[in-house]
Amino acid sequence: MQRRIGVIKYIFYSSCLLMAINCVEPFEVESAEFKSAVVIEGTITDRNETQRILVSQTFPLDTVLMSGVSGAGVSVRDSNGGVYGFTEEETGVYASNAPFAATAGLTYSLRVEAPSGKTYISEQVPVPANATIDNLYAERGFKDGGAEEGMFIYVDSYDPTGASKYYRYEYEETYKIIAPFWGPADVYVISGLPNPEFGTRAREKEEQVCFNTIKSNTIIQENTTAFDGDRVSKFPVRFINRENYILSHRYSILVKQYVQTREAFAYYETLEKLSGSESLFSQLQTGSLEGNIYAETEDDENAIGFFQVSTVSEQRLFFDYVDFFPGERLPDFVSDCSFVSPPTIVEGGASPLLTSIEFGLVKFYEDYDTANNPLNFSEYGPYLMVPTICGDCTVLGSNEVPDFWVED
Amino acid sequence: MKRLLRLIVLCYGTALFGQEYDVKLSFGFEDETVENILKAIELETNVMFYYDEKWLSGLTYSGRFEEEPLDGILETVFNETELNFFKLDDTRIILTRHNIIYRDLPEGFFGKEQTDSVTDTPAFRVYTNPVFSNIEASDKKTIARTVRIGKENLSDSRTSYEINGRAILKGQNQPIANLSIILDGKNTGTATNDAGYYELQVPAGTSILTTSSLGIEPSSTRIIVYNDGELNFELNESVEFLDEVIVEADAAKNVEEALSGSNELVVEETKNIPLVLGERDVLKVATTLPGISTAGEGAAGFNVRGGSTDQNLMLLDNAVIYNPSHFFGIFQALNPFTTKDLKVLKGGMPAEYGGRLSSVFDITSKDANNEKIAGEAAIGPVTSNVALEIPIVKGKSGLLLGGRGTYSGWILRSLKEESLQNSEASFYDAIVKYTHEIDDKNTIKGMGYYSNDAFSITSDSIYGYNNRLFSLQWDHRFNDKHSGSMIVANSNYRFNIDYEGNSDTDFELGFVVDETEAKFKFTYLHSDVHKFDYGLSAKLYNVQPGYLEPKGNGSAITPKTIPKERALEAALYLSDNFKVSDKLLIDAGIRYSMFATLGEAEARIYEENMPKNEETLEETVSYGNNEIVETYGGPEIRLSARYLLGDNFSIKASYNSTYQYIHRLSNTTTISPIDTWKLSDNNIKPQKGSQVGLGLYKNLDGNLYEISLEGYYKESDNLLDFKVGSELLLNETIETETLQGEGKAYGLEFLVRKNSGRLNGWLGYTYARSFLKLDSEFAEERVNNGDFFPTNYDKPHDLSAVLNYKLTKRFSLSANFIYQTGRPVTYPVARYNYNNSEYVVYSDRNEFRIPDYYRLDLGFNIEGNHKLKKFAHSFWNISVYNVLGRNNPYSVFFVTENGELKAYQSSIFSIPVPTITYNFKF
Repeated sequence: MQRRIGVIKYIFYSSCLLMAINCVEPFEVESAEFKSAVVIEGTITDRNETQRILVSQTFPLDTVLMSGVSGAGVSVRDSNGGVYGFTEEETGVYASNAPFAATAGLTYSLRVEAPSGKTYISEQVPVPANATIDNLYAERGFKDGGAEEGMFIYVDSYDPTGASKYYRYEYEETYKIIAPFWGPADVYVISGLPNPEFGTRAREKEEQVCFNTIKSNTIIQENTTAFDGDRVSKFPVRFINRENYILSHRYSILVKQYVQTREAFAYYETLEKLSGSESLFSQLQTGSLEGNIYAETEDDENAIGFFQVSTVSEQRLFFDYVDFFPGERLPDFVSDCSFVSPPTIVEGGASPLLTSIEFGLVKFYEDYDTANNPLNFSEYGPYLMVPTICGDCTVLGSNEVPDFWVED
Repeated sequence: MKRLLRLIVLCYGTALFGQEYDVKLSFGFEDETVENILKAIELETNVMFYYDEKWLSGLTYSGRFEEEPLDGILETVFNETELNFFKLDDTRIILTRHNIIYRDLPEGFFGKEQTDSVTDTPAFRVYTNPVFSNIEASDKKTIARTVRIGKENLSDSRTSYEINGRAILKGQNQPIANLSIILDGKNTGTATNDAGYYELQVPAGTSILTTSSLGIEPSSTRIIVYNDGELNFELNESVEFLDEVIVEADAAKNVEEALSGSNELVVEETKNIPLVLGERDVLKVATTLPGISTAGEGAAGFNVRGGSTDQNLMLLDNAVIYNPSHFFGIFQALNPFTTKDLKVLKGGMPAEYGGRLSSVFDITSKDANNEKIAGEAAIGPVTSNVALEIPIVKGKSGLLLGGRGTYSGWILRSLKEESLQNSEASFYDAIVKYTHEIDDKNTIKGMGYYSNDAFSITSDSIYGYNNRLFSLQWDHRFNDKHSGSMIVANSNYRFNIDYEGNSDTDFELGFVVDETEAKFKFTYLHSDVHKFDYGLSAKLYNVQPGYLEPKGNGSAITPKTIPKERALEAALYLSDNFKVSDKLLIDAGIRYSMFATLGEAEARIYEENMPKNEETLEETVSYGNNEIVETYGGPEIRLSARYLLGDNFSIKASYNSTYQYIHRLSNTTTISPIDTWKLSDNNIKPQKGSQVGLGLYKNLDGNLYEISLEGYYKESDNLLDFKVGSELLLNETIETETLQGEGKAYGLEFLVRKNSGRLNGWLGYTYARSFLKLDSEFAEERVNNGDFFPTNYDKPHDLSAVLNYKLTKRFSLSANFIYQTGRPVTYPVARYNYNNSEYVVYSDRNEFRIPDYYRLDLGFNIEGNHKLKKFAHSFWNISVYNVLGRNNPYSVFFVTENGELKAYQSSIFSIPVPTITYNFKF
């Protein structure tokens, strides 16, 4: 609900333009003061799987850090006295030693011993009710009354017991990338300077069709307390503008629906509010956000973050661009693809072709008709080349077909 | 009257140079015309005379002055003439014929009783206001009529007879009270009573009777008296000669009244002040006075002496106006042409007012001109204003109509920006006020007001809010000592949001607060020493805290309505304005206020001494309709005292305490139109505040300059604040999100004000601090470890200058300069990764400040010509807001976009904004 009600955030655009005055501008943050704290993020699910807890630390405003914390001791306890140990999988990522699932009726708490010696313990967290995704579907539609057109991914879910109420969504989207100017062959260097020679041969690896997977990074929540029944109906989890090239061929999305406690919902909601757009005329009162993980020693700073137990349900969806946009032009490719034909050698003895191949800037597309110079290059070589991104899909994704991938 | 500038040198004369008025002069005149004498004086001194040449024709003077002061010379020269002189200031002397101009208004100017006899005055005097006005008495020697009275009776040997009669206004049958009727040359006379009747002994034979009264055209009647008889007068009002009577009776009010910390702004006088987009805005002008500020440029709501924005009692003709602004506070919702004045009481609060901790903003609308139709209109770049005054019953009642509207909706629609093409923003307000003077004892005033704002920026939602006010006031004078008013007022404020999106979650959401007040107030002039004010009031609140309704078919939204809140607020008050001595004046008042939350209600009771949340809810108690759920109340002390330290110099002290039972719910740093209001209930206690103040007041140069220095210290309790990120709309259990804490504020305010002259305006400087403390034994109810921290509107240094310089009668230049310390903000102190995104950790509340604020505005005003008979009087205002182009940050904020942290700074008018406005008046 907040998503819509709290929005006076667009007002500043109007005031800017109404008065033809520029009012909101980005600026470089300067670190005024730095507060160091431990950040703990962890969700234990009701699925029997390897559970993961992330431990990191804050860093100054004007820096960007890989902030994972190594060497922490992580464990989860349930209210029956069960203890689940975790070991560091990679920096800051702690995986449970064995797969386990949260059991309804129990409560769980997290304990993290930071390398500094400080210990953080979460509140006892119960396991919420369970609701499964009934339907995950895609529809073509308009956003903001026609301002944008594209694909909506909707979720329907229903909990007849009415106990779930607070939902959070995460997704992983995977899309097929086809290099628009891929050729089967590639140029290779036979000899370098001063007498560069080149040849062509078949490509050694898959570079035409690739896949890329991106995880959601926004807070997507819905609560059904204002609705008739505990029913999530046509909830837009994701919107993709039709100009976005990820729609071009085949697209798949895995949507995970987490049922969470009211406290967890409130935590994420506040986190989103504090990081959301602002209204020019009424700035939300910001302040510190309290999680549920506290320092064991009273005088120490509490950890930032929230430990939660969720029930999870997931569904995957596939669709092709032509399913929804038959006969319509594809979205523009992510990059401009203009042909070049670098000469083999130029006055002064340099070889543009060699340099651009060595730096990986271009890919072979086809032989160039040097007799006619159909593209009217002022200088040209034997090959017609394209920027690497246009001829090699591995720039944008992975050439391995994901396990779950299904073609029509 | 014409100003003479010709310089002619004549006679001989030596002057001791100097600009002082009391310079000694030497002259010798031989049958010189008075006109030339005046010119000679003008030449030798800096003095300028103002007079009508006609009066001087034929007047001559012979004589010699050695080292005489100017006063003495003029007195001697004018001795044998009908001329008087009046020193307007050091350099200007106004000559009058017959009349004497008085610096002060006579006693009884406002209808107080006057003695029946007329003092022995050789020539009668027309009392007029001390400001130069072109009042012109009719020629005394012009005898309008000759009346024969009585039938001659030869046997009657009396030498004097009694005449009587009545004086009325020509064509209106209105009695003229206090009309002086003087028997020429006999030093006797009388005055008419309240009903216009008089009796007078006159000698037999021919006499001349002259009449005079303020505002009545003088008359002379030749009477030939043969016997007792009747003589009636039908006289014209002389107001037609006056464009306006500018009453400056209370020029020294700031020094003399007991109340401290009060400011008054007359809207007409603020018209030269340059303001953004040409909107004459008395509320914005008020923020240039010490102690009154806003959280930021364009922010709605006022912070008075370190108080929050919900602590101001905003009254428009006695009705509370909840949101007196349009477009988030950029524009005021008051029509400048219908608003007469604004009185801000920020220090001592009279016992009559209550219910808000910080201040009273008493906005009064004009009473319509009941003589002739008048109007005013302005065309500006954003809005147009119009006001009309229509007499209904001539001389008795009039109707005031005002309207304003904007064309900004059109501007938004015409923008190229595609995403804004469906956007709209529009607002308007309208006022109607009827004033009826039934007789000199009864006046009735009725006012209705409506303002509306609507805007939609995204095409799927429309926001709207409106104010609706009614008020009715009946003033009644029981007798000369006792008067009273009965006031009934109703205010209604609501907002709503209509959302029509793509999926099936369309809704309409809204909020309404409605209050109706009945108030009786009385003034009893017990004696010269005691003046009592007393009264009582009762106010009924009806609040609809929020409703959510599905919109259209197929909306899955469940209707949700937060139960209505009702409450009754009542108060009794009594105060005595006690003149202890000539020097000491005390205004001592007590107000007892009571508040009762009424059913129907479900009162939630939480475990004692525990944070309020779902888990600590113990039980819910149901109350039936009108059943009392909770009561609060207590005495409020209102004490002010003034002690005169000398001529135009006083010291004042005040103490007052107040309760506030209604609170604004806002989780933003500045207020927004979708903030709701909440009544106190069993979980939310009333706010309580007390203030002590001490001030020094000095007027200089005949009240031309007012200087004041005031200090105050305030303490308040149960101030309402909220947990971070709390959800206030549609929240049934608002008490789980609220925090109540202590406040303290103190400050020193300096103001120097020059009210007239070529250069006028004011300069104010304030040093003030304002703190809040939110402490609890539970971490979740604590902010900044339970220590005092600066409030969002704590701006220690605040300097404002508002100046206006008249180049000529028609052209004037004006300027504003504002400097303020940047307001406190909560700034991030670290960032971290979470949920594949970057977020920030915020500092303690209000630990940092945005950069200081300063701004200069300039304006140039052109008045149309001043011909009296012109149909319309025009006024152009060309102004540039923020001439320096200072990019004053309004806020800084941090947003996570696509998982990356972005920092933004917003400002409102970051470049100079030029405006031209055309006003006309008829």
